[in-house]
Amino acid sequence: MPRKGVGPLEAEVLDVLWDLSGWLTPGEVHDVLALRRDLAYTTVMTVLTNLWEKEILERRRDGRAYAYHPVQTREERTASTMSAALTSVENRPVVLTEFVGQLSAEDRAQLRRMLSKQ
Amino acid sequence: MIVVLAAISLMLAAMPGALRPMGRRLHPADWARGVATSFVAALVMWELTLLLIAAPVVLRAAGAHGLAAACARMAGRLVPGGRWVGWPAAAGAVILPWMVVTGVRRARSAQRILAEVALIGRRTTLAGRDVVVVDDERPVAVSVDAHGGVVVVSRALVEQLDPDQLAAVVRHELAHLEHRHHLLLQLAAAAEVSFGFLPGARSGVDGLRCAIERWADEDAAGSHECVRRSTRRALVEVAVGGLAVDAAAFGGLATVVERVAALDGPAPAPSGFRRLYTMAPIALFGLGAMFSAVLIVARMWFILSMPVHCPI
Repeated sequence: MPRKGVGPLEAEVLDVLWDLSGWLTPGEVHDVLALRRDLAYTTVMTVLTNLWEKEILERRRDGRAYAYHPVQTREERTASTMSAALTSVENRPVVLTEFVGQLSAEDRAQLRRMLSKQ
Repeated sequence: MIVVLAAISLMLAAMPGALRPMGRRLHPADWARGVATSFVAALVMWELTLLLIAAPVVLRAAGAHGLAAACARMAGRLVPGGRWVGWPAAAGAVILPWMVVTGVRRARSAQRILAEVALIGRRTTLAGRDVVVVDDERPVAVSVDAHGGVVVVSRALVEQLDPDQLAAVVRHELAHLEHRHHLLLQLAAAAEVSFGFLPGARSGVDGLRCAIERWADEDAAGSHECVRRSTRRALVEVAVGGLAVDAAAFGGLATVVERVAALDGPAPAPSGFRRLYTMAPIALFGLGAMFSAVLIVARMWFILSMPVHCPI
């Protein structure tokens, strides 16, 4: 199953949830985002629902509305995304400009021997 | 003429592999650009060749008999086979762009996932640069071309390297972003998928990937001996101290050894005259391909502009 990533607006909403921590309603998220940019309340609600459907957020009843909370911390999410990129790609060294790909144990031993001779 | 064009196209795809030993002596930026040009020309000319071979058969099947005859005449007698070659060529003309797209998509897949890291990762300053540090036990540094370009490094790498080495790694990744190396990687993947059947093409693709890494190495290392040493040490530390043993690096040990050896010496001088004679075969085949294509188009124009009653 393809990994469900997040877009720029979803990342902004996640930023708010991570920065403020705790459970936030769409209205509270909208209040914070409205300080930075012109954004409709319904847009924020849609983004939160999308993130919940992607299982990036969890939610619970808070009066008449839902309150949302990230399933993972920012650090956990970035680490798992990085890990997904490095392990799920069919041929990682071929598609990434990494500083250096992983060598096999045999290659590492050989490189160590070569360098020790210098 | 079309046979000549086909041969030239395949030569352009195989040539970077054959010339790789000479290419290593050039500045990696020059060699990477030369190989990329050769692959682009090979892909374009090979597609044109397949279209021209397929045209008579496909047009005849579509009922355009006059145009089909004109195309057959333009193709000349050297094109073998009629429909036995025409239909496979038509299939090839459709499959080739699909293969190119497949290669590019493969190269983009990891970048698509990493784009999220660029968006949500907490930015921090490392070695005076804006980077994202990710909590990962593998010593990894990657450049992500999405959202303005971000360098992502793992915590393991930060802990494993000293500040000078870390700065070299970050400069290496920034060089990838500055020179838009992800586009060259996509081209390499497209060439690999499209010309995988051709002996020598794979070596050319590996050579292009190695040149891209060496290009970034040289940008990071510059010409100061101590900086070159830091970059070299960082390369060795990450290669030797890699914690995960899940996959071989592209080209395996050979690539790392080539990069370490290059950093052991002085910074490469501008390629100058060497570039001329190393690239000469590629340039000659490229000119040959262009000349053939122009001749074919001119002949087509001539045939189509003949009076209608002229037997073709």
